[in-house]
Amino acid sequence: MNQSLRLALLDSDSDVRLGRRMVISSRPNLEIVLDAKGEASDLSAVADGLVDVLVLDQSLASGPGIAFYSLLRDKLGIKQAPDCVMTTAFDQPALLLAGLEVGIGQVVSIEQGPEALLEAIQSAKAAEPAYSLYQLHSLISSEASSRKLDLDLMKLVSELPEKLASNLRRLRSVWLKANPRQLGEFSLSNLDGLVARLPVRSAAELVIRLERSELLDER
Amino acid sequence: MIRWIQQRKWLPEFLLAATVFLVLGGLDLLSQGTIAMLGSLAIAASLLFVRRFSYLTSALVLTASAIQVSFSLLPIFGSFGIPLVAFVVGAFSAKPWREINYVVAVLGGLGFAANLSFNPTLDLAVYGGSIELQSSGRVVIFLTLVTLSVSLVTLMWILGQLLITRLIHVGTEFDRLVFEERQLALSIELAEQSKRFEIARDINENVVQKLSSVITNAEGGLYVAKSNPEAGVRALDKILVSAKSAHSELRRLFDMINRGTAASSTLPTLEDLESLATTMRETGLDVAVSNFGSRFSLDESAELAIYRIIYEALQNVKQHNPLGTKATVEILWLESGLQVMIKDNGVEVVRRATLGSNGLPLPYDADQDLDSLLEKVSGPGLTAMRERAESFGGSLEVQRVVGIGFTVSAMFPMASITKDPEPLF
Repeated sequence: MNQSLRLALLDSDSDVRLGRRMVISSRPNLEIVLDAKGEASDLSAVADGLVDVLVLDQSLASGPGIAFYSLLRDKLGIKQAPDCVMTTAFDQPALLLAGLEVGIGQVVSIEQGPEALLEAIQSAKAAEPAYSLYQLHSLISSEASSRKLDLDLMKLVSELPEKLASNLRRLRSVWLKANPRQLGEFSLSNLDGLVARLPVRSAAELVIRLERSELLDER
Repeated sequence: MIRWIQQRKWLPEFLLAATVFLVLGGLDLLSQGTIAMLGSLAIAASLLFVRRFSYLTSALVLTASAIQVSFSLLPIFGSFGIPLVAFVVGAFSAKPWREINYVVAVLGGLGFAANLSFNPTLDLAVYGGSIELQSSGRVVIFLTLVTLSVSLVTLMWILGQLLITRLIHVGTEFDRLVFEERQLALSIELAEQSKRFEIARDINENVVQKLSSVITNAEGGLYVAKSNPEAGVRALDKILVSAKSAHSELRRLFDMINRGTAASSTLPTLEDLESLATTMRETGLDVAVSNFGSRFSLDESAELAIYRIIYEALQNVKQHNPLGTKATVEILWLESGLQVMIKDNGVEVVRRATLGSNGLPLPYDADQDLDSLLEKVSGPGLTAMRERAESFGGSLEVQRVVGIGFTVSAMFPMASITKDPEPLF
């Protein structure tokens, strides 16, 4: 049986929230504890609401949903912030990449339908990553390269114990070869140790930030 | 001015040569007689071949120098035409004749200097003086004249090149003003378009938001309708409100995109052909519209298609024919349907402007006549017109009328273009 989840639902459009509420309410284990349009003041409400999963739209009253979640992470801490599912009007790879980079677990568009949203919410707290390494590689390769060196992350990576460093080397090796089969077979669960040690929420975030800091390019 | 020169083959050269010959040749005739006038004639004639057959320019300049030397003439007034030749060669001759003719003009200048300095028959009494020249004095005069003539010819040749470069690539002050005005108009148009695009983007975002609302409410309604029919009805209410709101946004977008165009409200009809003809006349194409037969009521879309065929045909006439071309639009309201004919006389206008060796317009022969019967005139514009006619069950033919121009003829059957086949009057 699915565990009970407390949700915060944020969207600038009250009609859209109403529709989503009706969809989410169809699952008895999902409880909406906060329904708001995503103003800056809602940041505290989410932080104090013991929310398990934050369902936010890319378009909020205070600005982009990604920026809202980044502020929440800063406020609560990377590991303590609730899991997040972001909704959008259309599938947009650039938006998906930006969302994953700040630790948003999944991005679901209206095009994907209500079942996809429910599934994303249900699996938000699941251990299994939502995206494979192959998907991440394709996503990053398809977008314009934008390097963003994270010196703190680079320092922490250089200080990794041997076991975790070998995991990273394996990831780097598979990444550089860019072989679809090897990328598909590589389980992001292998990176759980790294995710736990480094300041990231998910394996997807880790991979993207390592790539941005050119830590996957070294040979 | 420069366009006038560029658009004519021989007239500018002829006018310039005639002027030079009348002035300088006249002075030579009066001062030294017929032989000297022939030298001026050669210089003047050399101006005729600056753009075409440029080798004749060289030959004629050298001929003029030879005439002076051979007949031991005193320097002729025609020599003053040499710098003018250098100027015109610099401006209008093509490579390599621009450079070759420059060298020949310099040689002509040297000939003039030598003739003036060393001519044994030089007698300044002809010009009202009586100076006797020593040989050393002649050398000094020769060197001075060589320097002057080479400098003058070179200066004029460079000036010619500078002038043509400026006129063609830089333009006159007037050209710049016209360009600036056009650029200003484009800037304004671009600014308006940018603003319109910004508004369109905002409206688009609103529409996306409203449609997102419609979809999510519809999805929500589907989920709750079975367990809670009232909630399903509320969802439908929300969907309706959001859909109407999206529709109004789309209407705004529609109005904004079509602002400034008459497409959405007033469709042109055949009644508007007179004003179209007036507009065409104002922009250089003489158009006359005639109707024959009893008019009947046309279907709106068919009338628009017919209007557009006429419009496109007239635009083609205007685009492909010279000024002075006339076009006629004849609309025949027949019992079986409607026939439209657009005729022009563009070929005739060109033919009349091109005189044959006998001074008469160029004739056309039987081959051309046969070609006009066999030729299939085609082009993307004509294809579009034909498709437009065929979409209303009609047909469209384009025929070259040899020696005259083209005729576009479109025929529409009554049944496919009318609302009411009864005559209106």
